[in-house]
Amino acid sequence: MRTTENPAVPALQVTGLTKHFRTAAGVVRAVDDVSFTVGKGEIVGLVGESGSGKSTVGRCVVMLNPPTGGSVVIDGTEVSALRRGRIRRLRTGFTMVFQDPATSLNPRMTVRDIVAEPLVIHRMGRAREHDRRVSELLDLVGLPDSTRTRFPHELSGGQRQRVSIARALIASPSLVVADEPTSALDVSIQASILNLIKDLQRDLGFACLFISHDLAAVEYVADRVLVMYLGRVVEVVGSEGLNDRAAHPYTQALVSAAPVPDPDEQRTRQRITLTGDIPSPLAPPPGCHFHLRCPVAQDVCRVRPPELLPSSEAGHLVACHLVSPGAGNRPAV
Amino acid sequence: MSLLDVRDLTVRFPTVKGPVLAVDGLSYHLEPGEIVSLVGESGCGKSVGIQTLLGLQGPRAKISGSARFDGEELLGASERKLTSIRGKQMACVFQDPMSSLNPVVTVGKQVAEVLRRHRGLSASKARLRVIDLFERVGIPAPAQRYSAYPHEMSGGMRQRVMIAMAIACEPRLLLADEPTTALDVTIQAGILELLKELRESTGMAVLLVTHDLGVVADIADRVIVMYAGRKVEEAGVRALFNDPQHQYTRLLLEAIPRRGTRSGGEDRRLRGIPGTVPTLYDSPDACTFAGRCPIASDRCRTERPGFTEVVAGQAVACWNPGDRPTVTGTGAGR
Repeated sequence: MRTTENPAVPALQVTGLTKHFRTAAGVVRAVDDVSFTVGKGEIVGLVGESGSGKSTVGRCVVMLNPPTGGSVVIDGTEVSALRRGRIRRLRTGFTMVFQDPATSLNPRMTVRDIVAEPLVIHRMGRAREHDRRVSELLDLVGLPDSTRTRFPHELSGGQRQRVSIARALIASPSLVVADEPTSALDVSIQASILNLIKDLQRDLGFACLFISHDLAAVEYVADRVLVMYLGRVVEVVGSEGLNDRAAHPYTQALVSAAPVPDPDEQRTRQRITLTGDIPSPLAPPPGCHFHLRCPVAQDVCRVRPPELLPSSEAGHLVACHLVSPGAGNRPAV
Repeated sequence: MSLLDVRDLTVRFPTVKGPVLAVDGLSYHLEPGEIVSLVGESGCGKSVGIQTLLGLQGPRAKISGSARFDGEELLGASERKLTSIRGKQMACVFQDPMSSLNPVVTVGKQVAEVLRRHRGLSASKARLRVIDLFERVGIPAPAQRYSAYPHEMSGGMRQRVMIAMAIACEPRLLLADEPTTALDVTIQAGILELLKELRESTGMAVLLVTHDLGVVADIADRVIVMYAGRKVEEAGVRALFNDPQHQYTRLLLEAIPRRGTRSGGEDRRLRGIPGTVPTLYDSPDACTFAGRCPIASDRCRTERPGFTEVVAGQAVACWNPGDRPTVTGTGAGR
């Protein structure tokens, strides 16, 4: 896929995305009317807890799971309206980095073949050019060229994730979806991979949807953060405002529950403790999906689902009845 | 006398490439009512360090050293003796509650089994006590939940069942191996609160194995940092975070993304630790971190640093404790 020249066309535009899974127990409403955009060269973070639907959004965006409803437009092309063969031909434009590099790399292929595979599948260039591109990409992701002859099991977790990133970038995509790319890694390795993603994004200019449960990691790499709860986006906020400007009671609870690696701060800060668990997506509650656990829920929250509306700050969106649109006031939690 | 006193614990596992050294001369102690955290990255030996206490290290492990619980030696103790200590005086909670629970027995019955076995309670008395325990660990509608199967509960609730089972006999020591790692943060917060509350109310000591320094900052009194099978630093929680003496501890703290760093204008760039943890076959006469350390000297590569106290309550295995690299940015991983 060639990047359209028009900068006004976002790298990714998701409108009314819905994904239902049929199971023996009923229909799981994993994603329920989600809309957002990722600008060209922007990193947008997608956070939420297990069952929030964040990974499903990522998989719908790259058409690994075809959406039940809504549209996915990548670089001006509505991929969700295309047939499989056509999507396949466009796949060089949008790629994915998965959580666990141990299971997302073929154990019987060498690093060279893994990284070059997208070029082979899409018949881009000749074998000699593939070799050259593999060398370039290995260098970009900080692996020595000798890695090309290795097999995944000979590499450490961090090195494997670098290989996945090289594979994702070799066909020069305009959009990369990274689903928990550092969650399986140790802290000391995680930092290097986060830096790598940031640096590569800055140098190569691809847009990135960065999915993670780790608020601090998302804040570190992303420009904007979408917060999901039970299939819906509850807040969109600039990542520098995640700590202070979060207005949705769920975002506030999430921020307050994530422990801070500083004993003085961690033991003195105010915390909001949520009761109960995330409800089953088989039977989401009516009204606001969060009302069962929300410390400030009112009658209206139990009946009417809130819309995602702009607050006073540019780009800040909140889906909460208790935050009046345009005002940006926070409900007293 | 310490509640738990581990001295010079060494654990080797035979592999095709020769015996791997998983724990190399680990010594630590735990006092009643204390929460001590064993921290480190994968492969540092932190989990093996506590499995050995329970006799769960597997038949192939070669163990030396000593581990005394309340004065009684655990290493090499008979299965019968271990059984009398395990569950009753010393209990454990593991990372994944789903694989620790029997999927075809109701959760209530599984907890009751502990009470019937160790306390000799009748079925009906055990049932009442279990409902009581469920209430205490924050399981809603405890009487109904008694007859639920593990798959009918969420991860957070299953971990509460595990904790109920662990505290059923009011143990004096709880061994918790990554108890909140599989849980969401909003659920984790509740479990950590529960552990702190149980410590307050029962005086139970907790040995918490984790890789998450946020969890350590929240709950630990004292911290033991491990690297490649060895203890590299031990300190009170505040001293460890505010003034780490070992390079590994310092670099580990610098590698964690922190929130709120964006607000102050210039981004704070994270620094990874270049290189990987070595797999050890022999105990080298060197610091095991020397290969990744930005200030390693020749001495670090030829002589194993002893474990010495730098300031009161803070000890470190390092030849240059507290030093910082002269050029900032040395060793910064991309």
